[in-house]
Amino acid sequence: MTNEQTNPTGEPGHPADPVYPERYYEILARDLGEDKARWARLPYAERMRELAWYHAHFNTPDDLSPWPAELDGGVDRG
Amino acid sequence: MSDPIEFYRSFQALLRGRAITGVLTSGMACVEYGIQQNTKDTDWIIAPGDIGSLVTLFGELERGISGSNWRVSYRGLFGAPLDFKYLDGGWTSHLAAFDRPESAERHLDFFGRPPRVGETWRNDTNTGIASRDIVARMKKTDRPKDWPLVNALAIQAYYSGDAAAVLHLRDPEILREAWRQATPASCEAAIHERPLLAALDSIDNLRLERLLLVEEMLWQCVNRERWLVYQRAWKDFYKAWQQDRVGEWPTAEPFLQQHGRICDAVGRHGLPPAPLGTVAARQAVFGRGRERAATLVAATPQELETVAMPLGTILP
Repeated sequence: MTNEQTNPTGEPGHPADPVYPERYYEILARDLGEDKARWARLPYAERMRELAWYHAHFNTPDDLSPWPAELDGGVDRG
Repeated sequence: MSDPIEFYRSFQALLRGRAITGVLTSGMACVEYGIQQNTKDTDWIIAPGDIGSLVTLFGELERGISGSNWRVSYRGLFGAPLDFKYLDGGWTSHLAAFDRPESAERHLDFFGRPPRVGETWRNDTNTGIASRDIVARMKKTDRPKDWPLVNALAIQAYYSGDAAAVLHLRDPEILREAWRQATPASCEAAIHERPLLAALDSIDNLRLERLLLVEEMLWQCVNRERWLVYQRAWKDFYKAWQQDRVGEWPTAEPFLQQHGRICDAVGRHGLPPAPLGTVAARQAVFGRGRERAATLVAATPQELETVAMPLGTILP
């Protein structure tokens, strides 16, 4: 049951940064969308850098709402 | 500090500094697990016995004793005070904070006895983040959009060698694969918690998908009925409270004054600390949820019997 590999870019103190079998990412793409699956494939540090960039540049919504319309080419908070 | 992830980490450090036992859970935990991108709220499970220390911490943060001055306030949605007996009774508390004058409004939600979760969250206090098993339990809500997250957490748990994965997997193929690999010792306990597993070897995939649907609907409907009990209690309390005071809640007062005000109000106007504190109350919620689920997906009594989880699993 342990196909999990640990990616060396994982940051200590945070969840391990495993690479899962391809079908996991296919299920993510099917259930949550291609962009989330793409993001999930990134190493932990890169995932967090990408989110930090979004939070710095866009007024993203709370809790489970879809990404706001401005991420499709609209208004920059700055 | 505009990044909610930096904020949650700095808040987690404050909790550790005060020896407050707690773990990050829900959406931000899913961010850490690489499943969810877009949350700013931070949800925490806090040992009810440490709630008093948390209130003290917020008071000190507002007075700038522990660094920069925070502004902390209750939020204007239904939730109980940060008080041992309320959080131990299954309520949540909802706060807003500004950790710096120019910061965004941070939303912090606190559970003492989170829904669908027993005491096992305490095993995760070393990492500070609730395990995939705990987060998956909490995500079995009445919101359909939470359920793909349950499955994703379970698949991660499976590939990480966590036996609890079989309790949450929604993908028929992976569920069967995980079940074949489960040890005989773990099977009995897993079937007790998730009775659907007992039927796995005798049904085809179409039938399994049908039972997964009925099972999900049962979780959703019972959770809805649970939530309605707390909402009704809050509405009754709030109506009574509004009749003897002028103004809006939350007030613009410092946090400790707000806290004193709501603690006084819940006592005077009888907000019940544990609306589901008796087995009879939990059985009634389960019964209503089961009835609703049966109606919504036209589930037969036999299907419901096959998937119905024990009361201690769904309403611990």
